[in-house]
Amino acid sequence: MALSDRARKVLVQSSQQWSEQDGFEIRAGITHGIQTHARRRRMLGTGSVVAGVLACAALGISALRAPGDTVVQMASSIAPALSQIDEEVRPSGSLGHASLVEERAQVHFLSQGTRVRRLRPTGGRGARANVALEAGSARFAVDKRKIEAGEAPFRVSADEVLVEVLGTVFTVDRLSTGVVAVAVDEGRVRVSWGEDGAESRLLEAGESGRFSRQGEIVEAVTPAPVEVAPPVEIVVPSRGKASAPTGAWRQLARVGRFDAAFRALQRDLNQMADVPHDLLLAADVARLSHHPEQAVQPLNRVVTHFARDDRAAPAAFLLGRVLMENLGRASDAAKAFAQSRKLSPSGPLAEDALGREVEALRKAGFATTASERAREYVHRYPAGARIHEIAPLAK
Amino acid sequence: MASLKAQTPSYEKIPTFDELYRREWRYVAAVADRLMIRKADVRDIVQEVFIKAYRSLDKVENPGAIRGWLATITVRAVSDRLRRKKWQQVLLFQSEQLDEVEAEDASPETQAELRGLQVALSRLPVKERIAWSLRHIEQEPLDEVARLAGCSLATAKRRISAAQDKLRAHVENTAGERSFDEKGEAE
Repeated sequence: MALSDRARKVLVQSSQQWSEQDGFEIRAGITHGIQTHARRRRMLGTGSVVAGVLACAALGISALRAPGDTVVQMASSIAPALSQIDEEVRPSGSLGHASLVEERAQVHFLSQGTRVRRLRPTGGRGARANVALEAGSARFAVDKRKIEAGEAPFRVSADEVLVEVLGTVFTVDRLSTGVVAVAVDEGRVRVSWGEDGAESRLLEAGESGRFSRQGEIVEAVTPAPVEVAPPVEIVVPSRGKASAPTGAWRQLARVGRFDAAFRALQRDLNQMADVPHDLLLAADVARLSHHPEQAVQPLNRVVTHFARDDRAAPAAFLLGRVLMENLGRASDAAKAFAQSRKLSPSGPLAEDALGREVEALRKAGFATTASERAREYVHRYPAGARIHEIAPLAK
Repeated sequence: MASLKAQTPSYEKIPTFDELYRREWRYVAAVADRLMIRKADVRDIVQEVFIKAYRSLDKVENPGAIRGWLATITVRAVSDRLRRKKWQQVLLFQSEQLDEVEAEDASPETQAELRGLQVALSRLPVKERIAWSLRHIEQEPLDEVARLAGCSLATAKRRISAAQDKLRAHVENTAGERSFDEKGEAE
């Protein structure tokens, strides 16, 4: 029995139908597996130390130092913990975020030019990876279980300000003026500065603050309660009840309450300004509150009316994803991906946009054009991330 | 795709684990998928492969050998899983559950061919199944089949040949049954 070429081709294509969502779900399992393995090793290590101590005691050796004394000191100091630069953290082409498996954390790159480096301490008991925000703005989401398990906290340094995660989701923004802005969406963080982090301040969910590199608090803002009112107070339609204050939808969106933000925005669309920032935020609110069809219009607006803005190409890319993955409009998605490439032919999303354009064209039934674009992909990106799935389509 | 290592992405240095996963997870999933295991199992295999890779990435010295290394881990993980499943089936008197190959665009003949192949492969001993799949689905050269399967060249040839005979016999039996059924219906 020999496998026909046609059947083999079908088999190869079928084996490549894995979505990014699959990738993230599998990745989560890997993270869990690695953590479990690390815990087992730690337990084994502890067991070995205990056994060693007992053995030494039996031999009458009394001058045994507790392991890791110097490391504890190092862990309490900022500078040595950040002494060895390990690698640059790069966002995945399509989603603008990166996963840090060991740290159970995700980094979302919020602006162009954001640079994040992973730093590794010199080793020992204090060994845990930190990251440094070298430029731009990034949002960090850290698995709650890391904190609950009593593992070493996740730390982000920006200039001479250190942000230590005591909770889960927060944003760090290195402003051009040398000021670091920190906003906490969920949980708590401790921001410290000065010599060895001598001074510090706790920020709770919904709080944000600005900290200068000289160590002075320039500003620490706790939003007024009305700005982060519980969604039910804003949401429940009630005749005669005061509407949410203008701009509340932005605050709700910023703290991750997208359903409430969507409803607040829907009540009065005039709250949204016709500028890229608001349009993109509105699109995020629509998408993340499970109203993807409502994300199309603001994204389209950014693409068509703000084509010269840096955010137009990512907006077109996102539009393609929404059309393809949420709305099943493959043909329109292909056009959006093409537009993204046109707006930024050598931008960071160009490769992925072309790959997705091929996929969208194929799904829309434009086999010939899909094949042409596939050839273009193979030519432009011979070592591209999608080469193994696109190369067969180029034939 | 001519070979498991075809279209190997160029690594100038040993990648970080994050980069390795980002660039290779689809490849590992596709290889496991083509070895004709269930989709749900493919996810487990990808996890298993990358957890193993995480533990030993620092021991890899040649960046050019990374994809071959991942392929070896994948093939062995699939072999182990299929062997475990065989035992479960024997102990629980079950037959292997098979996924439908996603081939909506394919002709009925091609779909039937793939379904037949799935069933036939599921009845082969695991070692023969893996060797045949590497040779005829992945189109690996014989020496690479031997390397990936962890056996000698002669053993690899013998396994492929034995698998081929059994698959041919399965096809002939199936065709015989079909013609018998068709004859019965006609009568």
